[in-house]
Amino acid sequence: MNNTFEQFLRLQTVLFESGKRAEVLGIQLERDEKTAPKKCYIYRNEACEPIFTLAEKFFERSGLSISYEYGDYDDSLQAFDQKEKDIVVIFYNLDRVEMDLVSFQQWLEKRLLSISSMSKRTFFVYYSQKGKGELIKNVVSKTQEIVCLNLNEIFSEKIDLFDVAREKLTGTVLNNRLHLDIAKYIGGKFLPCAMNIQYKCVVTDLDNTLFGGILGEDGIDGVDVALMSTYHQLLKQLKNQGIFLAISSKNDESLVRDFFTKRGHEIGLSFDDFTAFAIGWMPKSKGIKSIANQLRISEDSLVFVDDNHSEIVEVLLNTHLKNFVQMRQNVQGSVDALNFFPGGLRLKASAEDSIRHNDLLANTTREKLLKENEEGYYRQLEMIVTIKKQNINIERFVELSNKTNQFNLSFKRYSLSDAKKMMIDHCCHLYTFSLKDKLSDSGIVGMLSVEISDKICIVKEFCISCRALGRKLEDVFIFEAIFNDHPEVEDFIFEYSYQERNQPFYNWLSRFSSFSQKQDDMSLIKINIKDVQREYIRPEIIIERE
Amino acid sequence: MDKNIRVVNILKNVLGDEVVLQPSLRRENIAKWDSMKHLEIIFAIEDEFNVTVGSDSFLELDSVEAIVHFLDLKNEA
Repeated sequence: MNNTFEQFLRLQTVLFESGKRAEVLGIQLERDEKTAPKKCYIYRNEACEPIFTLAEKFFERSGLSISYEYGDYDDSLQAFDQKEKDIVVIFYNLDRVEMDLVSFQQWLEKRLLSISSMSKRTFFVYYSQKGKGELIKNVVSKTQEIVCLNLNEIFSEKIDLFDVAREKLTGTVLNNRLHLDIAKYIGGKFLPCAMNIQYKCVVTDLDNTLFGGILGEDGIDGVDVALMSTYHQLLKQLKNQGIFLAISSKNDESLVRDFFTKRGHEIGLSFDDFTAFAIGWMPKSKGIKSIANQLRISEDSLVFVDDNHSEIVEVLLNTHLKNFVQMRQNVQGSVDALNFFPGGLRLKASAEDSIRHNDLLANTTREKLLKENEEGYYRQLEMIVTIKKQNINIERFVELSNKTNQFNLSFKRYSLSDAKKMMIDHCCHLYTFSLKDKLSDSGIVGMLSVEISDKICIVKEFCISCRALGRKLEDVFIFEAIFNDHPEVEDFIFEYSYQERNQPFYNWLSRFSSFSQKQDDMSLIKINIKDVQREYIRPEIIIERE
Repeated sequence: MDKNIRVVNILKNVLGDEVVLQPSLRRENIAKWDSMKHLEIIFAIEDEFNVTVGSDSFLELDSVEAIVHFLDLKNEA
């Protein structure tokens, strides 16, 4: 652990403080041999290797590694091989194509859609000295499955994005002085976003992290909030994108509450902006575990921000948390280290994001109700489940397939184009499940994809958000849907894939049929309807169908 | 730090640890030093020493000696 810890600290220093190209290239992280590098195929019409070699270092802070394969220089975006790849990147100088605007727009849209239909994930980086980026906005907006990055927009204030004088030598019109900045956006934000890498929560320390000074010693009026203003802005921005904020601090909770009451307006954050808390004198690792538990997410989907070296080590040693940023005297460097931490970019906040915060806060009340009266708990909640078939919210269906880890059958990680194809395939039956109770509206919390063939229901994917777990709804979702729509079904076959994180799914499925977990393999688990009827749990709920 | 050592360190960082680097090394003796790596070396030299390598020198900086000589001339200018 120490080696990795030191390497990540050094990476933070080199990437966000010293910023020298050779130093960045010199960092070699120890790779996890068990995890294969992500395969990335790059279409381009200019040299981009020097940028992607740097971007790799930013990307590797996610704990994953990446391998590149570059295509030939090709303005026509025609050459496409069928080799399996995790992502296709198109790195494109728009000025190299000589066409009238309308023809160019039509041609580009066709090519982008064609490429994205042949690959699971696509990332389009483009730039132009002639303002063409603005002119293709309508094209980009139509290709919602492609993550797009217009370099002109990011670097609009930098006049030296281009260095045409050296184009013949360097193979690109992009100025090499900006390579590191471009790489930061690609490797730290857009490439992870396109690959659906997402962390879910930022856990922040308070003393010398959310503000300068120590609250218990300097007092509410004595701590320096202005020092960390860029950090506050970033936290607010992350929250607005749907990322949870949590506090882990060795402090008195009443003092912390008073701080937010008196000075929250100065930092633009209130106590209510945070969803989970571990404030007290327990070890930080215990606090991290508690926060993950409160949010019902795994410890490795948190990013921990703390100034104290030994606190970070204690957390890394005693939890599964891997992602951290050290708040240092170089505040801007530390804020950048969080801003460009892979997994923080969401291009659009979904409607579910706004529901999530209140739903999790309601969990505290639910737990209290459960403790007080286990027997009457489900009745008291007054749960209403809505089962929706086929004409579903496809974006949320895809989001659940990609974000859910704990209750996830097969990790198929559908793309929007996969889901659209399934919607028109008469063999596929797609469902979503919404949930509300008297405490909150949880929104769409489950998705199911099945195929029915000769009295057999083949379950391709079944995911439930961790927010809805613990309410005994797993059986209801799948079996109420199938029994109602396909009463002829006699057997279920689950396409089950084991991963370390989907233990809750295994626990559920093994109730019906005992089987052993095999790593990295898909197993077909057959369950007869009699097994289902024997084990079926249906709490007191109202079921609505659409 | 000595300019020679700084240049050797840059080459090491760009070309990787497995390349045995000595002050006398030249591009022609290192297979890994291809045109793309050459670009990265030039960019890293510019970055480290805050200089600009003009098109006339771009391809000539093909050894530690040539790079150090180029930097010395820049210093004098």
